[in-house]
Amino acid sequence: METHQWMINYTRQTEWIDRRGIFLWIAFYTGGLGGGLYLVSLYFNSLWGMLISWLIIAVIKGGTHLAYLGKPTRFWRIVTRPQTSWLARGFIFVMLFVIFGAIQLVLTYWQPGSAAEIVFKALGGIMAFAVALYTGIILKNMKGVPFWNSALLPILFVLCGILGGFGLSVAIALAGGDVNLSAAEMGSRILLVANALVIIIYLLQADHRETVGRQSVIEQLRGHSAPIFWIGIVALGIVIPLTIAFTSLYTEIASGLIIFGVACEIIGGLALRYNVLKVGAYKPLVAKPQ
Amino acid sequence: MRWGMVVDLSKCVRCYACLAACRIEHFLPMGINWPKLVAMDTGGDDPTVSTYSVRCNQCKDAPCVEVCPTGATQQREDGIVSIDQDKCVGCRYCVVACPYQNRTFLSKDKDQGFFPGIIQTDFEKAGKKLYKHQVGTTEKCNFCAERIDAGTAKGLKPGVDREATPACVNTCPARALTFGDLDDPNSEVSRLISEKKGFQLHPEYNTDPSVYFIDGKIGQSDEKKVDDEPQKELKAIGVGD
Amino acid sequence: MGERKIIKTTCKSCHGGCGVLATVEDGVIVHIEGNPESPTSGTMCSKGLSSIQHVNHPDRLLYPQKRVGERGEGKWQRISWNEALDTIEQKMKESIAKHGATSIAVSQGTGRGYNEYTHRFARSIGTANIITPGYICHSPRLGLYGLVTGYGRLYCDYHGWGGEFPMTQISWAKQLEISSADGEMAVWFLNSLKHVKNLIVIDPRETALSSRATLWLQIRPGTDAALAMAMINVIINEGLIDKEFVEKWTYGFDKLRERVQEYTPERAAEITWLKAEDIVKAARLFAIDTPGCIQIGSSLERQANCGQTLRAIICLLGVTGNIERPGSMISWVPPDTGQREDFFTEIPITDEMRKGIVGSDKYKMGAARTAHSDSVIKQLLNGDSVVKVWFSVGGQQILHLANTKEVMQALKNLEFLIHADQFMGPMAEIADIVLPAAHWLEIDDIFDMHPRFMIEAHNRVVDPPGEAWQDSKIFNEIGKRIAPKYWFENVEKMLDYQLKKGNMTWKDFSKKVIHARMGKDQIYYKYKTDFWRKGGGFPTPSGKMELYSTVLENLGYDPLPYFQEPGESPVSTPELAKEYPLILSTGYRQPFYFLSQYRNIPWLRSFQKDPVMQIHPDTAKEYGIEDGDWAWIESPRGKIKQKARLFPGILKGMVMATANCFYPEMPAPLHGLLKSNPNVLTNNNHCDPMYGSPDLTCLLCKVYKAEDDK
Repeated sequence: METHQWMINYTRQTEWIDRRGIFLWIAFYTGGLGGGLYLVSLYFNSLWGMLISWLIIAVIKGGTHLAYLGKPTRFWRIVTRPQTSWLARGFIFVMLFVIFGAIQLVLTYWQPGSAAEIVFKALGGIMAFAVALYTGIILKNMKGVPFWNSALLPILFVLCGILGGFGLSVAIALAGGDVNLSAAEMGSRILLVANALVIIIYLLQADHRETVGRQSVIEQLRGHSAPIFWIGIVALGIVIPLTIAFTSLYTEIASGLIIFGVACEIIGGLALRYNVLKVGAYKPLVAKPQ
Repeated sequence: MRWGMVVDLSKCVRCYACLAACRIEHFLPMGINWPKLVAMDTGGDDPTVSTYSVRCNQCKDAPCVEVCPTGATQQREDGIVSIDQDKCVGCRYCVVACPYQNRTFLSKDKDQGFFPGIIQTDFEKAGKKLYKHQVGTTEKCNFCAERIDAGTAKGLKPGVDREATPACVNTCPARALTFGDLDDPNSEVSRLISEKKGFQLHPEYNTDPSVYFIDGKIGQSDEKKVDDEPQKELKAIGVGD
Repeated sequence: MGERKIIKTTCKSCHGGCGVLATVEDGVIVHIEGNPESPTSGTMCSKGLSSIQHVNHPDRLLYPQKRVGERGEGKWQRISWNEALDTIEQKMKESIAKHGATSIAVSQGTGRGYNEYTHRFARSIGTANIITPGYICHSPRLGLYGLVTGYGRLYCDYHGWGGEFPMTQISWAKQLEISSADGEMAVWFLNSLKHVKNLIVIDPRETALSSRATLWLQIRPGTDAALAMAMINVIINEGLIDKEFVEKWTYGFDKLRERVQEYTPERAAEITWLKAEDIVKAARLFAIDTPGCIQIGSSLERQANCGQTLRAIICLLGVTGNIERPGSMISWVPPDTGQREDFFTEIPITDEMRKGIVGSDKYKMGAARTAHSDSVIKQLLNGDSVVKVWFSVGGQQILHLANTKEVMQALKNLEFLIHADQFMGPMAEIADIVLPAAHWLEIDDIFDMHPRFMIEAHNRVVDPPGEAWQDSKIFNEIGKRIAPKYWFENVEKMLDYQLKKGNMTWKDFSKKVIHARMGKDQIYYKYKTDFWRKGGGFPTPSGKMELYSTVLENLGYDPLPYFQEPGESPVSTPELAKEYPLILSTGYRQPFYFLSQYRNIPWLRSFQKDPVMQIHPDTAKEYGIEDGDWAWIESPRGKIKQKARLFPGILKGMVMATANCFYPEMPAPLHGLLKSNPNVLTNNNHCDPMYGSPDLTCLLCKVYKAEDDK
């Protein structure tokens, strides 16, 4: 530790992104993606979509979360403090989603249209939404990191998840799955535009949240995280899929290209979470008088 | 009762004794410091060199307690925020949530020993027995709760009796650290906070830290007397020889 | 749980003196903390506390070794103590027979309570060629204070034993609070600040204390004498002197008054880059609010005008009457065990020894009891060296002497070099025999350091590793072989001998841990009593405090202080300053290192991995250096690199480089000696006429960005 360099200036949050922190990044993203896909799949009543979203959350999100823990065998302790901890709540959302989702998948397969199926679809949907939402709330509540202190963050995370959900739905449709392709494409278009708008508003707002919030924005637009922002979030996450999506309004597009667009969307979503975690910096512990 | 600490910025001389004493007291793994020094130098018209000896603030309204999903982090009745290492799952939520960055996750690479790959020293071996650290959990300053508990059990007073006082406070050669009960208006810490306008770091977080800082000038110079031209006495002074 | 015991001892991780409680369980130190019953009230700093890693360090030297390859090749062979001692005895006796005893030099690091052994050993075998860093740290002060108080020590009275604490304190080129030495005194000094009215800090760099002091004088390095003279000027001309003291107890006031007339505040301001009004203010504060004291830093002794700078400061104390008064500067009376120096002064320096002292013809104050290090180096380089065999203990001259490259070359010309150390450093690497030394937690010894009003015990807490010996034993064993009549059956007998005046044995003292003359037992105003001289007076030729020094006059020096520009400065060498435009000071120290020590202690290294040089942000900008960059610092002697730290509190146009640094982890034999050690840059040609101290804190340099150090 070199004292003078520490905590006086811009100090990034590292625990949840650097090194093993990448597990947490993937977990955060797949929560949004899985939750979003489940909700979209409910809309399309796509069993494939629901199954995939269940797998994403149960296997990838659950797995990466577990892999991230310092003491994985104690994971069950996480449920014990939902009164105050959003992580405990999130863990419960995930558990409930996995249980409700599993029942729902079974019911949808064996007893489609039954009252029970509808009830569990509703329960699964609520949990899917909660799973997509809670990580945003966790970050929003972090007192020391101004860049995250925005009610827009959970909204952004949910929208981004739903966007990914529509993207995967498109892929499912192209693979011959039970999804209406043009509706999925339309959803993608709307969400892409909405997402882009929220990102712009978010950055504009963060720019005014204390010096450190501004530094986080600068870091993202011009600093070390800029390549990820401009290539990952802007180009891959918005511009390319949006171009493909709007071009497809007017002309026939090869399905390979559409799949490429979906892949770009997913990468864009990952890039977004990555940067949000990466540029989250603490207010200096001791304010340096100017 | 609420244990608190006052750090006097006009006294701290950046000697790092507090860190060293803590490492010994708690057999800290090589990569970890519970207290830390934040050094700051400013230029300008009223330049200052300040060192903030920081450690867990034991906030009354502690974000870490709130976010801990397992209840491993708890607040004791005396205000100390404690971690039950056996309950911690190592999710690092508290590490990120502490706005003062005072928590550290003990990862394997932070526990490589003093001389990694060469020897494990006798002191480290003794430490493994005397003070357990668990890789994969989160750590922070506990105001030497062990000393406080053992001391108060003997009827000693933390902040007054050395045996019941945190190690960093005891060792500070500059006497920049003062410990005591914030709830007792007659304690040294309460007196310093009220007399010297003690302040907490980032009060806007509404966490109500139990660590206060004070600052001030050294000496009570009466500069007026000096700035007024003294009476000139130029008459020759007879000197012996 | 096994056997657990707490042993009281004394820390020596810096100059030392802090009381320690070490807890040992089954022969292992499991805890260290300060001893609350000691004069340092149970405080300890990071260096002393980190001793735990020191005693357990895997790189400790465990056995005597002899060189088997070329010098500096790094090939060693373990030998027995007997073989080592036999070889040393034979080499020394050979050299004595062939070249006389003065061909043997004994060197030491900074004085840390083992000086008595180095000096006694040297004198016992008939040489006074003792090489110590004293001439750049403390000796000039001792000698020049000695012209006032006889035994040569004046300390700030931080204790209030006479009923008063200092009202005005000057911290002059000193950061007693962190300067990594004098730990015990730092504790007392910091405590005394509670009572101070005015604190004046004189330092080219801002410190934690200067930020909060009454007055901070950001002086140009090397110009302190001009400031002191101007302060005396103000005090005399404004009639602020202590009239009674000056009239009754000083000698040569009129001549001093005459001398200081040329040092008006305005002229001094020009020299020192201070404001004249600040100089006036400092003078008034110090003269009006008495008692006062001046804590001098050894930076003043690392300048080639150190003698007269100190003389000026002593005169400043004299005209304000700040001698021997409670709360001023005191020469403490030692406890009844006497001065520890008696242990070697009882063997007088003979005329023959004195003649053989290298540098004694030139540096009459400095090279009177010890050799002038830089002259020894020059002689070795020229091939006409008096010194042939060098026995080095407790310090690495190769690091701390000026002009490292010359020193390296010179040491290679020695006939035989013996070095005792705890680790294999650059000095050990070029030796012929290396002896393993013990740490302070592993020794039984008597400690006395600066204050001189007490002695303390080092009690062995654990056994030394391998076959390491404590210094006293090394000297005793070699001494017994060469000059048996001066040495002892064993260390305990030697310790008993040193305590005999106090009617104590080592065993008694070891239990007592501290033996002191404190509080009411101290004597103030010695000059008003028969203490120094029957009927009162100072122990000087005139019986008075000599503002005009008759002793210096007799030695051919100017009896009155004056200012002289450093050997290299924008003023004295303007041509050189065009190429090397920045002032270089090599005095930067960190509180967690002690001189060249501890960069291999992981806990301490963790505080600062790379050596740092401080530079003002504006100056750095001018030279394209950013915070955290590696930067080259270059002088006419060479270049080194250190990590730049942009520090707004440092004088513009100045570079402050970290002193004495090497990299223990880097490959032998150099261990990175030439990479960052600022002595590569320093000059050993321009030395103080009295003490031979070279300019280490006021040179010229240039800086530029270096490639990143991976």
